[in-house]
Amino acid sequence: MKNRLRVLRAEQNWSQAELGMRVGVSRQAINAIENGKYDPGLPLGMKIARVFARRVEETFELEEKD
Amino acid sequence: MVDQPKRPDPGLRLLTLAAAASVLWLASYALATKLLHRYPDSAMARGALAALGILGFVLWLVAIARLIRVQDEFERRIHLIALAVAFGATALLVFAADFLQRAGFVDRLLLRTIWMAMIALWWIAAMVVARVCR
Repeated sequence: MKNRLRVLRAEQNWSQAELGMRVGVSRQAINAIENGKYDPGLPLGMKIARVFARRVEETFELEEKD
Repeated sequence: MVDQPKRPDPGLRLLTLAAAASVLWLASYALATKLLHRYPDSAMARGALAALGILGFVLWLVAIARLIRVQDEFERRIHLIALAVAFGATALLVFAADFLQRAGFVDRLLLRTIWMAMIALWWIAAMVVARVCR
């Protein structure tokens, strides 16, 4: 699954730790999501989209292989 | 600006609790192991010492489970994978030891080797998985 976390985070000028704090996960979790090493569950995905005031589909995108 | 009183971090509190539970478990294990052979004629004393050792382990398990529960979903996933790896590796170890024992290559496998290996493999796997995922 692709995501636009890095771009959206840069737009807000937030660090990974700050985004993690806003959605209640560790900086390592945000890093793993950004690098495509971990796909978040639905509640976390929705929380992330909500803090960026975006829809989930604007934040995460399914790839062919998914 | 008024200083707000600092509330204790629940994660740090549970980490301290887990560390205390680990010390308690090791102490109860060491004590029970040391004293177990001193009372060969008293089933009650041996039973109580065995219960002490088991209780220490149960407390440790509860503390570790609570520590994992407060972590975020990513950390919990790491532990889930690590536990699966540890389970598979321990099963392989016991299976291999059984065959090697029957083939006459190794002596009897001590039961404590199994849980020691499982815990060690769990933590090693957790560190490896965390490194791979980050």
